[in-house]
Amino acid sequence: MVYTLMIITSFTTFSLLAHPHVFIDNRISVVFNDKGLKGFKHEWFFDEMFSSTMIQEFDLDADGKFNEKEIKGIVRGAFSNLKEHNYFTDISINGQRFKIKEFKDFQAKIDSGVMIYKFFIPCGVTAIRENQEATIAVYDPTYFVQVLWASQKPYSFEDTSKVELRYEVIEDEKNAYYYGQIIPEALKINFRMKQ
Amino acid sequence: MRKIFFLISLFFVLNSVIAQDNPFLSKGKTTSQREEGRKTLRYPRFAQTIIGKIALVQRSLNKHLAELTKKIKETKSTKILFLIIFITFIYGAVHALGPGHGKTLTFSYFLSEETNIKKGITVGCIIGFLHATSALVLVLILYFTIKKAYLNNIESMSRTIKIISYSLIAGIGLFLLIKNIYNINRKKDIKDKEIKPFQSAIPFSFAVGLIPCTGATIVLLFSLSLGVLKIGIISTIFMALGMATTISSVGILTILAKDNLKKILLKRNTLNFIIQRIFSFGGAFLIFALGVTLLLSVYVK
Repeated sequence: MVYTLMIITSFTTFSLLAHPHVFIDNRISVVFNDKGLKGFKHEWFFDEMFSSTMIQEFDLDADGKFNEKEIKGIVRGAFSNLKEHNYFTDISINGQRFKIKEFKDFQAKIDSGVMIYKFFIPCGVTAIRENQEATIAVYDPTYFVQVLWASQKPYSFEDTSKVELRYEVIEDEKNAYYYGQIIPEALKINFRMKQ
Repeated sequence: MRKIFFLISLFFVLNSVIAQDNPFLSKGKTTSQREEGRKTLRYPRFAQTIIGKIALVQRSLNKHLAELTKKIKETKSTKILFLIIFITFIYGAVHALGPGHGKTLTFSYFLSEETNIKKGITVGCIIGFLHATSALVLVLILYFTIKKAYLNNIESMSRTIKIISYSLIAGIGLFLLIKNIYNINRKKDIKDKEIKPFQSAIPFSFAVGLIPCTGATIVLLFSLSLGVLKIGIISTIFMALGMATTISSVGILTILAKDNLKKILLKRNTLNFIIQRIFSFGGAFLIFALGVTLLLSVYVK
């Protein structure tokens, strides 16, 4: 009987007013400089259906492009609010959660019906001789959006001349989100100064 | 048993706090929610895997639907129309499998109320269809009036609808609770009582289904942007049918499991009676608690 209830329970917790509604294909570029880690460049490709609703909403002159004024409108109306959600970005440095303070270089464009966001999240970590660890996972904690890795070049590294690094994609089980239902895939990077 | 039931209830309540606001547009309290969610719950691994798979299936259906809608605009082919119908039905069914809170309510309701399978199907169909129709009506109102800022307007209209819906859910939960308290002194075995169908099932389905389906809204706005609103409407109808199928199945499964359980315990009449009471109370309490929690989630931000 308990068993029956368990089955029913696990079935019913999936639900009607369902998520996700929107899909993002995400690309991350991990940017280094002479001192160490500088931050993360994001590139979000929205699914075509949601893109079309956003384009209707924000491409005010309907010319199929976002001009500067329209991009400002997007930042105000459909990006800066993501601060409440940590810009969908979960960064840990040496096991400590990194609090995102700002974003930089926000751009939005339309490419054959797909809306693309690009922005940079600064996260400076000075590299030392010992290994340090940075993990980054991109997901929407409210699960309105399902963020997936882009199929081509999902992650890359820039200006790595001064550092040695290793990386892997891990299933970040301990950070399962949306009430423990979904396991994010995190990019785990180990880096240190070149000896 | 009581303990298990209590744990399950708690699980549902916690699981269902989140309302489906668009994080791009509306203010949220998610950072703390996220922390809270991490601390409180961990799903079994197999469930996490299934949810992940469901999302991938949805992603691919979503992509196909976008492509087919564009194609039908050019070719107007019947074959593509049938493909769209097929895909939207599956999309609706799968969409209703994703995490959220409506099915929890359906489950609680059927736990609480004396039911039959017919009632399960009816409730599932009303919720599924109303959920999609509500989205359709909103989009059409905007289309025929201001013709712009769809997303933002839908977001604010949804808020009002949510307040109405959640208040109704809490009200129905309270009604069921009171009914249970009133019944508690009756010694008569519940199974002898004649099932009175549709006492509260229809108001319940309306209250739950009222909230516009964001998935359907997006499909509609997409077809609107291509100038094929008709296709959007057809898609919405079949999405609704898909959702109705899934929700009805949840209803039926709950009813069957409950009946099965009662059959096992039938030999011990008193115990059966007690368990029936626990279900009835627990289900009613859950509906009430969910209604109140959801209502609070709209205000406390």
